[in-house]
Amino acid sequence: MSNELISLTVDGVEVQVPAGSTVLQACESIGVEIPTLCTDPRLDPYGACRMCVVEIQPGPPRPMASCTMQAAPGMNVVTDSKSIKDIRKHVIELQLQHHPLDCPYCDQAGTCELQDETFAQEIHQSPYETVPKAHPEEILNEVILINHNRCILCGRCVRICDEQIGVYALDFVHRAIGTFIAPAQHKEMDCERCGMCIETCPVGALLSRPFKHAARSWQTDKTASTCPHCSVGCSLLVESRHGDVVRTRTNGLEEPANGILCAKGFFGHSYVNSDDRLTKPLIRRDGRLEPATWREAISHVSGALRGVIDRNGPGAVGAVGSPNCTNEDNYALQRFTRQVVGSNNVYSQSSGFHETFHALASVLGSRAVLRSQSELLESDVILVVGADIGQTHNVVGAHIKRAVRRNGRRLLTATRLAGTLDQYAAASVRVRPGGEAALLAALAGRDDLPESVTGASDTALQTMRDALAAAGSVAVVWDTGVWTLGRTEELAAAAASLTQAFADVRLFPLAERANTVGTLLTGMAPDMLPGLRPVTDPEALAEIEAATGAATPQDAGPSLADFLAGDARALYVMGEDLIGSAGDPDSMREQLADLDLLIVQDIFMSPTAEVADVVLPGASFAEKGGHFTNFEGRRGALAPAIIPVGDARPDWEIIARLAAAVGNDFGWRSHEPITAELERLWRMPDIEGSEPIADLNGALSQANGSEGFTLATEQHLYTAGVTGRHAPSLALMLPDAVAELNPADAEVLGVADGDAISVASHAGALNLKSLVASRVPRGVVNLPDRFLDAPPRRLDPAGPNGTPVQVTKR
Amino acid sequence: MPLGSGILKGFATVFKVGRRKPATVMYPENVRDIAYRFRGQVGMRRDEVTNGLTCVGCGLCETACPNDVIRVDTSENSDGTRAVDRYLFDVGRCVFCYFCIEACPVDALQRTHDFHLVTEDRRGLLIDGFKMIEIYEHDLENRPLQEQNIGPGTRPRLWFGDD
Ligand code: SF4
Ligand code: SF4
Ligand code: SF4
Ligand code: SF4
Ligand code: SF4
Ligand code: FES
Repeated sequence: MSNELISLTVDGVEVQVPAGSTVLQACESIGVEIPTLCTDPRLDPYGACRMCVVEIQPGPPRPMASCTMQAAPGMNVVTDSKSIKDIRKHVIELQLQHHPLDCPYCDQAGTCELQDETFAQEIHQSPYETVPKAHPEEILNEVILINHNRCILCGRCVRICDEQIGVYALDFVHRAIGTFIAPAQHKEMDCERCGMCIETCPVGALLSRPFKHAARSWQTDKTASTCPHCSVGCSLLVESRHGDVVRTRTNGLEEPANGILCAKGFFGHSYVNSDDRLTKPLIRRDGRLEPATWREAISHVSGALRGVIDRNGPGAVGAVGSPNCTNEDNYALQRFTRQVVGSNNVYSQSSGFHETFHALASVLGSRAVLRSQSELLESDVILVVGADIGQTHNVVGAHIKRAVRRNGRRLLTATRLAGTLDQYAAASVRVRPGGEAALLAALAGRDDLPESVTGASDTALQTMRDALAAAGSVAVVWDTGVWTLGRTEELAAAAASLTQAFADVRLFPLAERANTVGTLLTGMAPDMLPGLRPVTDPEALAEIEAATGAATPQDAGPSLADFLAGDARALYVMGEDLIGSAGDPDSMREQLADLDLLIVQDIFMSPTAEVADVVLPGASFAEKGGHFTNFEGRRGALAPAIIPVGDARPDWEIIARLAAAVGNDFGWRSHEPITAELERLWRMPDIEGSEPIADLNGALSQANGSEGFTLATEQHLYTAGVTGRHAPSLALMLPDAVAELNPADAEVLGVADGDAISVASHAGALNLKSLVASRVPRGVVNLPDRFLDAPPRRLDPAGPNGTPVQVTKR
Repeated sequence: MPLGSGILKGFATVFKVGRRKPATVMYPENVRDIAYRFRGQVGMRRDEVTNGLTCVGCGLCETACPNDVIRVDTSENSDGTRAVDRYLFDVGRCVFCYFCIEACPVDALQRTHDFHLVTEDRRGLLIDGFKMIEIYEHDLENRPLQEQNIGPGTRPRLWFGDD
């Protein structure tokens, strides 16, 4: 749309709209309501339903669909003539001819556009003989079903899946009165389970199976919040009823979600009301964890903490924050540890993001790293390296596909596994697990790296280099999941070398979890303060003292490993499973069991909580206020949708109560004062890049060329760690811990889908189920990360990606 | 007015009223006839096929109720239809406006003449759909009376059944 304005008349009123607007938009801009059925602001005009007809003078002597008609200067639009009203009424009457009208038990009732229009057109009796269709409901997959009888063939589902998600899983089949919606091309439905077709369906035809008959749409409380599952930070509308979260849906068209969600956002909320939630504080008595009241738990913890501090000094106490908790929760924990306990032993786990950030910031400056999604989507060439972003950060993946199709961006994929992004890519190569940094270095100009290392042929490399060289701007995107473990330095160096080889290279290391960036910026590190400033920075220390009225210790703490191996006597773990995520869980368990005091605050029992002295039940994302910081550094607000289950309390509140119990009341009675306090200290990091780019000569870890399998570890679209395992609808999509194998490899091994197999490396073995998936190249076995019972780290604590493994049938 | 005439008037009234049949009866041994438009406890029809609640769980009664009396919890049956897991009715809050009855699209909710709602415990006033079926069926003898004035045109004269 250009900025040029044109003027036309709607029902006698002069309207000015930008050239290129539709007549419908022109009418809406002055509040003239036009009924529509096939329009969705996320979709292109389509003109399927003819509800939106208007008369146009001068113009064709027949009613025109205003949604597809472009506004032209001097047009005279009539929206409310008798004949227009008759047509609208007729459209609905014709729709109702075959419509079952089972509104009393239709899940869409209350938000149904057909129902609303039936009322608006005051239709009480059909002038036609009505023959409702009577097809049985058809189950499309674990979470989606379709009731063909209610479908009005508006095509919104088909279009949203294609235009917005880039999947095209649904289509019309057959013709005329026999038309219905079915998996595209009569194949099994190739669907990413984002639920957007359900959401856009104006009637109760496409339905969510988890939500089916759970509540009536008008009975739910709607709370705007932010998705807790990954670092995209999509905004959500949480719908709850009687203390249960019954569904989540999109909330507005704003960045970063731009009006869509992925499977985790749409279906992944049910962990909130899982029966496995921790609902009471537990205190270990005679070796057993037993339920206790909050009063007991708080006094127990404060007494025990005091004991440790008196005996061993504040340096013996540490705290681990969590990328699953809000900025406010993490800030509260670090303030408690720094100012009440008096030590800088504050930690958080990020599976590689923090390291990547620091490595890149020290070379290129921090402004080069935390950039907005719009900068990503506006780059001429988008290069996706390593993990398939369509799986790990699905919504960003969908936006990339759209940017390629709509805005002519060029996409290059250098992912380990095939994915839906490849269909949109101008060029793609299958990088060898472990060869990601080498591939980046090769793209930046190194020519001594053979195909056996990078996985890319010379011609493929040259095509990609040419595309990069021709671009005015380049976005390099990679997920910083567990695969970057042990490789963050070389990856960062290789990515940084690209910035020298090509013009305007923007780096997007995408953090893994909802608040991984927040843990970085709230100072969950032994050497960094909130606002990401060193603990020795006198200016920062003074600012914090001004904001909080208390002093902060100035000596940086040791790393978590050093702390646990050294002085540690007490550890406060919030929302993190140290044992489950450790490379060597047994030695981690020993270290933790050895402590005098282990406090675990979480929403589910975990291996770490099992060895704790005190377990405190925290609140899930739907039960507390605060903010998550997404991969761009943008803060997305959470708001409490339901009262916490059982005796669970918001994490910040537990910490505030504890602080008050040891005589240091922070004065927080809601999360807002914490937000305000943090606001004073919050800043986007401003680190100058001063160090030279590391020389990668010879330092590149070589992808192995051995005969066996190479391990890839990337998150599956349907895995979301602990919360995902406890969300029944997500667990349905991928029930067991799996190892993904190429069909040809599976055949050689004699393994069928779902067979029990074992994957063994030099460091250990895991027993899993096989998942035969053509997205996996030959010779590679992919272990989706974040299954609780099969963490790939166990196969190589130093960094499992690229590790040689043997796969055997059990 | 002569002194004492007030007293005489009083005596006269007592004498006159005292000879009348009392309007009150010894409840609960005796129960008065009920105006057939009387609004008693809301009952529920039994579904003839399933022998359970007729309710389809649409939640309209819950929405129509101005006093938050009703709560319907539903889920999905294995055949895809809606199961009513729980139908709760808090008699203690009900003002017998009968909005719920009017809202019900399947006529599951029905008027009854039952007003014997006493309990010794507030919690006894929280009844479920099956208790409502019991109330409805127990009250079936009053159906003909209730049905007399369904529909327009009822004359006020007919407000009391037997008079
Ligand atoms: S789709 Fe709409 S009109 Fe049709 S039964 Fe459902 S609520 Fe009623
Ligand atoms: S859930 Fe998403 S991917 Fe699947 S058919 Fe619907 S829109 Fe397409
Ligand atoms: S299923 Fe829904 S969205 Fe799809 S064509 Fe039918 S009515 Fe439209
Ligand atoms: S992309 Fe990430 S933030 Fe967005 S809905 Fe999916 S899991 Fe949630
Ligand atoms: S209105 Fe009738 S069918 Fe609907 S929930 Fe109430 S009793 Fe059940
Ligand atoms: S809204 Fe214009 S044709 Fe459907």
